[in-house]
Amino acid sequence: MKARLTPQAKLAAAVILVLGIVLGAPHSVFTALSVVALVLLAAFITEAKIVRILIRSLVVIPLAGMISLFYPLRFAGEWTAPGLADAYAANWQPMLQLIVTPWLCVLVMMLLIHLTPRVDLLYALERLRLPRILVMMLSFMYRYVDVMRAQLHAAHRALESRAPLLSRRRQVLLYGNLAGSMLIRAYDRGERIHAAMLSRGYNGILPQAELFRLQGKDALLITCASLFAIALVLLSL
Amino acid sequence: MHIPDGMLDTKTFATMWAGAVAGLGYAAYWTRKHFDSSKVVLMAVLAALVFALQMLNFPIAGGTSGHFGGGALAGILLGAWPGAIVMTGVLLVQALLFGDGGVTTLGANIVNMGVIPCFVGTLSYQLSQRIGKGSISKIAGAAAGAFLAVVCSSVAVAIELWASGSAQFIAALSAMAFWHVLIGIGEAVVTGGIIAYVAKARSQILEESAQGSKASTRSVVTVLAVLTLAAAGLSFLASSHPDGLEYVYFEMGIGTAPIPEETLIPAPIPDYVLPGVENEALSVIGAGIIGAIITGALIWAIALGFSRRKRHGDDSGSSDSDGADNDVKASAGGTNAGPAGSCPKCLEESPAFIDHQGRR
Repeated sequence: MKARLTPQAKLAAAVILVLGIVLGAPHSVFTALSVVALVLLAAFITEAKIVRILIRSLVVIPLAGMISLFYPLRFAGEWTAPGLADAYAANWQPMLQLIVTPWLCVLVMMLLIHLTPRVDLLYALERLRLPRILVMMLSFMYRYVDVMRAQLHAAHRALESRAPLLSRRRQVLLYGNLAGSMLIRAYDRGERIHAAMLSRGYNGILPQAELFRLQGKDALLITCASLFAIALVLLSL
Repeated sequence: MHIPDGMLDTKTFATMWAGAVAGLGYAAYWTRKHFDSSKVVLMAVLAALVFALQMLNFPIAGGTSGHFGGGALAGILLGAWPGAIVMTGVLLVQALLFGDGGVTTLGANIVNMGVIPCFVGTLSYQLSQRIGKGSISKIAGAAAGAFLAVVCSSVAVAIELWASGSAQFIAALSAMAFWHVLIGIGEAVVTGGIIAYVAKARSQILEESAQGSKASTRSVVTVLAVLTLAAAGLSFLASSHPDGLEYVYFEMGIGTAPIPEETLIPAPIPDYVLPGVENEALSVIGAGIIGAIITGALIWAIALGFSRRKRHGDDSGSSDSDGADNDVKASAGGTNAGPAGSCPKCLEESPAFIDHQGRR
């Protein structure tokens, strides 16, 4: 299943679903559960790790929960204890919705991320006509983030081993120097990479390969996602 | 600060997407016009660096920690427009590859964490360069820019949440501003430290960036005008909303309200706490203060931008666009040790670099 659908179709379907969830903003338990069921079904069919997707999707809950706590304050005319209690009691449903909607969206995106290798997602963005400069930036990030993280870890370990007795606050002050040295290395690296790219014939455009072609299955996927999204929006009316 | 999907309503996320796409379109045009391929590669490498540096955590109050953002730094090093593109790259990866921040809210996140910090950071740094030329003014300008960038972004998030009806304005604003003032201090320390180190170890990087960003002064004024218009549009769209009442109150100067018996939650920002003043009055004062600060900053920045252009034009004795082009050529020349687009020279040098590449 992984290899058969093209990544741009999967990305498009996920974005359509997210748009449907946001515009429909599931009001009833039924619609919310239908989205969860859809994701679980897709995860089951594609043999994705369902538990991992569920756990990673929970990342959004603390932030969404915090923002949803602000929601009833608009309806509390006076910020007194009984007024606030009334406002929270009367608005628990929209509050819950403010948590559930982001969670469902993250669930869909997590499914996409789990089912699509990152290189394929970059390729999909390229085929979906993202500006060339952004595609290049993303491919460089894909290539160099781990290298730079390893460098950062090494530099951090060096700082800790050479100055083990420094307080946390003093160490934070040294972070600037650490990051500054990383920055200078990045500048040097940028010049080296550019020269190497020029020597391989780079003329401002990264070479593109057509790895996937849209097929009937992809059209079917996008149609199904669109229908589901439209159903979500219609159900909320 | 990444806003997840579902937190912004349709009118708000559509407006923010329109603003982000327009801003990015111009940024891509500006970068294509002013940057040669070596600078574009540098942008891509810096995007990876910013992403990696976001691992730097610093402690803030109550056992929680914030992490480095990097928007102001990108703006200071590359100029506001290319900086915004770099931050957009970072945000795209976070949204699509890690599920951090929503898809529908990506436009808002690009404006909040890409465009606003880059412009605020660049403006603050440029102003500090006008005041003093030493490395102290560079560090202070960068640190102040980083702090203001984080705080302005958090205010923008609060305004967007309020415009969507997801949160009460004063509550969202106080909570966001309170935490982000603390995070902003960490951001300022790290950014100031980076600039201090670079000024000491390799100052030509900062000189190049200063020359490169001079060219963007006119576009800084343009983007401020566009953002003001977008904000006006957003508040117009939001005015049909119940909370729009607060704005009407503010506009008409109505603010006297009955005194509540007891206040359960005091506003965390002490300046806003006026004992015995009801909720709407708080909004009036809050909106007044923020409106005054934003308007004052805008007018000041625009006035400074214009006076600077004029002086620059007088010095060089050339038209605006000529001056800008000269600046950029000078900066590109500095990076490459050759004129802009000097591919043959680079090709000659490339074998040595391939060795480097191979050894890496």
